Amino acid sequence: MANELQHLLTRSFALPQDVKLDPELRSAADALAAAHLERMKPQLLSWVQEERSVQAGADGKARSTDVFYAATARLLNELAYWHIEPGDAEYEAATLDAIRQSPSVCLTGQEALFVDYSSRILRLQAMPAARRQAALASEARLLERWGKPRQAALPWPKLPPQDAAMGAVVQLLDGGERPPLALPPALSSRLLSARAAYRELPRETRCAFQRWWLQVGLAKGQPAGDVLNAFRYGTLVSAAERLAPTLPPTPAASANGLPPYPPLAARYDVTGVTMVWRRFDASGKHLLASVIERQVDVRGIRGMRPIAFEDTFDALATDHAIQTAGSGRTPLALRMVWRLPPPADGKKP
Amino acid sequence: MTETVTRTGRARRLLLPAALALASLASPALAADPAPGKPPITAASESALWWGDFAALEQQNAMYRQAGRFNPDGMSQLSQFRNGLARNVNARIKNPEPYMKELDAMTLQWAQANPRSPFAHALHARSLLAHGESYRGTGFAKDVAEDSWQVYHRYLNQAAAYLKDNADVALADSYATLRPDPDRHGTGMDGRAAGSHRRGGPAAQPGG
Repeated sequence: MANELQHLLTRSFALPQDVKLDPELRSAADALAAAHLERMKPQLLSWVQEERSVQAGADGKARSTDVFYAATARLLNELAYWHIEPGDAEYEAATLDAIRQSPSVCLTGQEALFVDYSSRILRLQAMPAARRQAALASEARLLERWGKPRQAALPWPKLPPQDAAMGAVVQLLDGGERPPLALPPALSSRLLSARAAYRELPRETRCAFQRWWLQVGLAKGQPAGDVLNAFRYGTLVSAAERLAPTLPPTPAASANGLPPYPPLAARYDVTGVTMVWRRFDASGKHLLASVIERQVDVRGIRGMRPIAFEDTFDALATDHAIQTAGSGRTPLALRMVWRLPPPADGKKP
Repeated sequence: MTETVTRTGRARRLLLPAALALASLASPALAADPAPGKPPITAASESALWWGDFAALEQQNAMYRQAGRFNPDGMSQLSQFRNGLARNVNARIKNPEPYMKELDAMTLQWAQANPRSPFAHALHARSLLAHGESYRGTGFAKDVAEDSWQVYHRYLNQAAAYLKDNADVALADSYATLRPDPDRHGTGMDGRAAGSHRRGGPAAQPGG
């Protein structure tokens, strides 16, 4: 079981050949990754053992799938914390500059799901050579935090950055105020000409859109820390996205009109509450819905926010808010409680 | 106003073997952006403009403008570089107007941020010309609607005026040499065969 987790982690630390890196940087980054993967081997084993103990029933035994999913959730959450967590001040400044100045930081290639490490190293590639060594040292320090108690993570932005950015796009399409920066062809072709939804965009394009929004925020004078935090949340590979290929399709809404329970949440024992804000945009023509608060619990994640799973219910919650707009109550704060029933046979699922 | 919705899930357990679940995490292949299978120089400039990477374009342009940059087959590397630009600037795309507007705006921002760059000014002029050509289309001139001609000429004049205003810088790059040919039929500026109007003809959108 620990080997499966190690396999997943190894994929997250791959640097595929279509990710364009200088040979020296690739070599140094590969060495850093290898050391981290080696260090994590006993850690992953201890997580599995801990879960066996926590998930054990009265007979002292634990279902292996429960243990596996709980340990996987923990690992995915570690990846998410690492993605969100800021580094030291110099690292943060260099990271922001790299994202702001270089579209190539989003070019993670054909790999769409396991871009955790490659996206970070691409930012180092975009930094001036003189800054790379210090940034690599910062990366090493950030990796050393894995598995240790962490400080509280920075919160989600008030609105998911893609929702705020799509608001600006809709405004542009309606002939309203232009954002201070034009959209490059990769974005204008899809968002303006094809009118694609954010969810339909490939990962590299979504990253480019988040990057554009970061630049817009900076041009509007927003604090650097805020725009960088928004970028990090916007580019997070959540459990919902990463595990989607392993899950059955989400069922249709039930007869009473309530949204279905997401298969991810059923499998990984995710429960919680989402608060959705439904409103019209500034033009009064377009109905919007965004998740503005999340409180989520996941089996296997204890003593820390389950960042990797916090958006598990977002898509269903916002879709439900839009689909039920016929009730006429807009604006509306919609509190949705996501709860699994106790198993019918009285055993642990 | 607050409304509470409680959802009780039923699919509590899924008995896929755990190992199988993660082993099936194959990455879906993305549609490449832009399409592969073209000369690396063309692919690089196409990609740089597609993603909005002016620094990369400026660097590539400076390199391929140097004398003697030819491939072993005699192909000019500068031409290959410009072919990549043309794939964005003269892109065939449904609903082209917002795309062309953004391209005009983006290239103008680049020119304003890099006022001493001949390439930046030339690229903006090319964008304006292409915007006009998106109204003219690539079909027979006799089939182009009158209102489309008007928009075409408006953008053509705008491109010419822009180059005139910035001639001292822009004309240092041969890319600023525009050769609009409103009567042509057959190929676009990037050499692709014409087969359909991009939006010329009777159904063309007015204005722009």
